[in-house]
Amino acid sequence: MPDFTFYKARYQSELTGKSARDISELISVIKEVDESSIFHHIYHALLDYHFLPLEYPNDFAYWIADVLHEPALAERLADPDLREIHDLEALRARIMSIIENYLTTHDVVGRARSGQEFHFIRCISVIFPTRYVASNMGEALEILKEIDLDSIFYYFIASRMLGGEHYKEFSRWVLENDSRALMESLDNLYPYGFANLNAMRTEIVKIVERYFWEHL
Amino acid sequence: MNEKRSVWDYEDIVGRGLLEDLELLAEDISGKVQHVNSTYTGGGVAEILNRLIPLFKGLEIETEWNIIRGDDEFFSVTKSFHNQLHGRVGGPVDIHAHEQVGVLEDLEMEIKELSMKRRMLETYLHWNQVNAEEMTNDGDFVFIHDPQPAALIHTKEKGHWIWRCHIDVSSPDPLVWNFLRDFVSKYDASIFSTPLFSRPDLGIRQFLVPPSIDPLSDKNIELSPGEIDKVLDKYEITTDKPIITQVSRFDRLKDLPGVIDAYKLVKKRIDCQLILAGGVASDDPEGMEVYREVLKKADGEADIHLLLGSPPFTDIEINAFQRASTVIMQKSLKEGFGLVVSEGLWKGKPVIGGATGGIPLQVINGVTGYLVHSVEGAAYKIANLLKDPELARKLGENGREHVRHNFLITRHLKDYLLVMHSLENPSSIIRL
Repeated sequence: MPDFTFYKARYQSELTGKSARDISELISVIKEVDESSIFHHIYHALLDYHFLPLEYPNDFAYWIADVLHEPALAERLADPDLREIHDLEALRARIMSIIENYLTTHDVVGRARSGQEFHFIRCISVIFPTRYVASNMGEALEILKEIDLDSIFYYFIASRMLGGEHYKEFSRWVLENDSRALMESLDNLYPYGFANLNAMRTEIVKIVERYFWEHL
Repeated sequence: MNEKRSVWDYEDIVGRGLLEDLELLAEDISGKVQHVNSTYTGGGVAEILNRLIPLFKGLEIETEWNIIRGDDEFFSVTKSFHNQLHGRVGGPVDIHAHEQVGVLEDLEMEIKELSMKRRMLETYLHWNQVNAEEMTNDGDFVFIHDPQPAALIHTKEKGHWIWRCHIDVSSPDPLVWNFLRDFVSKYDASIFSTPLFSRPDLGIRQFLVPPSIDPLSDKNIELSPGEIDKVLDKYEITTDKPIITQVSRFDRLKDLPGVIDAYKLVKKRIDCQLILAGGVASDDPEGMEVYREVLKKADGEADIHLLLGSPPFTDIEINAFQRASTVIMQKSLKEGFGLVVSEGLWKGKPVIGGATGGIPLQVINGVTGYLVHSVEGAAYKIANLLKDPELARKLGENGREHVRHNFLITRHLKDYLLVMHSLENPSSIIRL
């Protein structure tokens, strides 16, 4: 059985030069902006440190609530049900559809004052191997318990949305360790509903430990 | 500067994960890094480079730091550029102007006309040409800091050139900006501290990298009670009453009169003292004028410690003033990033700041301190914090964590390494 090397990514923000002051400008930029910008605005808050669980866990929802004062739309965007969403184009389409559906029955008239515009930021993902290597699931479990939260984010969110290459490798490696049930449990983990990455890590560790109890 | 420092000096502060990543990200960087600015000492840029460059070297990245030279006229021109790009205004203004910023707008046009003489542009270009002839800019990654050396881009023969802008150029004087933009637009990329400071008309890549403080520098390192007392004794400050402190230059935009007014409102209800500690830059004639105005405003009040750093305060002294305080103020009317806020937060102190520039990125209202918009608002929040030490402690603790995650030098170093990788490979997904 080959060893499994854990990867992670670090992210650098780059301005796209595009910004929005109202809902129609927001929609038109979401339609055309680089998909890494969609990734950034939906997910970066999960990587940031927070003192309290976020009321709105992505930038679009936060801005619509805070600046456009449209909390009902913000709440719909806060939990966009990404279960069946596996790439950034599908994610973009889901965000668009939530906003456009809302606009069929509501007028959103809010407009940002100077300094409150939504600045679209592109996200550069630099992916690299960590020093963590597992030769069996027991070792992988110990690594999952202590590895940096950026690695957890990378495997269970970023890698899945950015082509899935490393998540598939991990999934395959788990399968090759005769752990189909475990692989399926991890594949089914819905990463968007956690208040923070520590909570997600706890759930992942719980899934692996439960598997060990039941099968080993 | 040949000093090397290990990133592992920061392990107790930021943990292993980030430091391991710094080493991994640095392994794949090849070539020389060059930083160019206008001074080795004084000011935020020099302060950051003094701490950052030894860390680059500690990661075994060949790194060089060069400064440009110029005469008094050149630096007077670049200071004027700075003020006009930054939207900073000067000149004789009523001491009560903290409530009348609009008054300054009329003066702005006058200053613009005076400062955009052809001779200024010629002086700027002349000294950039002199420096271009004297300096070897052969780095593979050349970071040019701020407007002073921006025209050196004409000497580019190789490498990636990055214009690192530390100031807010979002609302500049159009003439100065158009002049500067001709140079900046020739760079491979720029770096801004926040989207709010950037320009939509640059035509080159714009990365976001907020500035940082170094928790191991003299300005921020832990001090013992004895070290703090020694500094307070020197300035005849006792600790029998809670201390409110603002550390800032004697500059109108720091709203020192507003701080004094807020203190006086609080003083009616709570016995406390105020430290206003700041310097006056040698090239800033307005600074002494502001100092005298503030001195008059303090009106001999015994519990107002108006401290003019001349010679400048040592970093340990600034550190001690902040650590001795119950509340830190930064009640600016206009501000750049305002890193002094992070210095205060890192010391576990709640900060009350004006909602301007980079202050709202550091002061999360009600979480790490308070954002205020008036003298009355500042006084109310100061009183809240003085009357509720547990609240002050909690906000200070939050502030320290906020800085730990966002505004320390190790994060700054990581961002620069990521920018360098991104310049080598323009894709949005880079696999090392």
